[in-house]
Amino acid sequence: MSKLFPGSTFMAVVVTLAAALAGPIAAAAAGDEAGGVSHRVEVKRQKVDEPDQPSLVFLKENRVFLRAELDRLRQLVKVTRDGSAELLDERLLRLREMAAAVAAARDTVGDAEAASAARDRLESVAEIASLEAQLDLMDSLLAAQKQRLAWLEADYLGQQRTALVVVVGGFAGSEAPEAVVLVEGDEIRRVDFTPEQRTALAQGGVAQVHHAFVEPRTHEFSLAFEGGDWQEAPPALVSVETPRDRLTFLEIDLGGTDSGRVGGAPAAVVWQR
Amino acid sequence: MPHYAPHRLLAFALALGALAGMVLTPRAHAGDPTPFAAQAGLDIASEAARTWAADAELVYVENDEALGADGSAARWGYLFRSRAADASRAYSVRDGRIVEAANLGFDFEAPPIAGPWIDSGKALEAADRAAADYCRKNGGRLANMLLVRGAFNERRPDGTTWTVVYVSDTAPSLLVVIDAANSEVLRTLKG
Repeated sequence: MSKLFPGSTFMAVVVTLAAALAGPIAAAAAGDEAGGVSHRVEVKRQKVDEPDQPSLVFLKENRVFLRAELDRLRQLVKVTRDGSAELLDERLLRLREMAAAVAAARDTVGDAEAASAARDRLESVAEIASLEAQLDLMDSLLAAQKQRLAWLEADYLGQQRTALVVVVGGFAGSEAPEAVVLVEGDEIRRVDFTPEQRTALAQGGVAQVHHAFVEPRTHEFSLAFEGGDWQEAPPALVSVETPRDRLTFLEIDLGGTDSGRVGGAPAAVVWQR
Repeated sequence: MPHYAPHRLLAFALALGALAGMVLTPRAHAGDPTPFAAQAGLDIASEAARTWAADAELVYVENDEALGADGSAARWGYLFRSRAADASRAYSVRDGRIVEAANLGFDFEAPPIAGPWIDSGKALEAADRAAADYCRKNGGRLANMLLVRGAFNERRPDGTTWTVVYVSDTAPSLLVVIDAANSEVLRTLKG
């Protein structure tokens, strides 16, 4: 839409500006003359750029009509997955082949054992040659078995995930606690020791109190002990780094601490494999 | 007749001019909003909806301001629904900006729009042809366009449709239902 009176608008602006500026200029001059600066805060309502009309008017005015249309529908939620087939894990096929090879080797060894048992003595050079052939077969079966074991070990190590094992010990010659409370952040884990375990601990044994997959990061643990003199002992604070895809062992040796009293700090030993 | 000094006449003329300017000049915006077709505002509305709810799905579109003959409007409204939150939220888009965002104050469990869907201009072309006779006889005019899935589509309730609403001062409104997949006129309703 075009402006109807552009000239008059310009004049209106001029007049408005003149009227608006006249007051402040005079006030500023008076303020300067007075030698002081004053600030006056005026509060006005901010103009909000609201739409001229609300949104979805038709829907709101005809919602009963539209909902009646939709009420006649029945929605079925179907979950579909990508149709592409997934490849089988080659390791599964390899394991099946290995199992079959082991079974075949077992049969072969069984046959050889049966043949050996049935043979009273070697009756000819040809039989000696046959026996050597059997021994060679056993060697080859052993070599194949070693190869399979090596493959399984490599596969197992390749699937290693980050894990942590916490063990405590160092109670030899002193009363073992009844329980240990392992705290990391908001996670609290309490492990009660059986009388047999306490006896083993008192005789210098160690106890596993935690074994879990963990995030590969630095973990801050607090270990508190319960029971007997250990009730008064302050919690032991231990920090351990768990490298990715490694199994980390954290052994806490409380041999340097006095049960129930503030003694030396516990020794923490960490190793990975 | 009273006699006024020239400078007082000039001041009076200036004041009168200012008053006329304020009254007769149309509202001055930074610029009139540019009309656009419905799909042009969908991206920003969808982006906002994802911030509101990760599972937000578009369920309804309607023109929020008057439609042009080419199926464009200065403002479109987009309604999203979250199944997880069991709530609906509307975004009104103008000039590439969301000018209004509000939760819908009532239940409206519409199914999610199934895409792709033709834009408002193409849908209006088809609807205008179907409504030509109605408009000529009754002085009908275009009023609303709404995109919804399931409603008004008895033959294929799973489909998404544009419903174009024409109104008249002398006859019931005419609703032209357009298949949003191919601009086929599915049916007309009066009411």
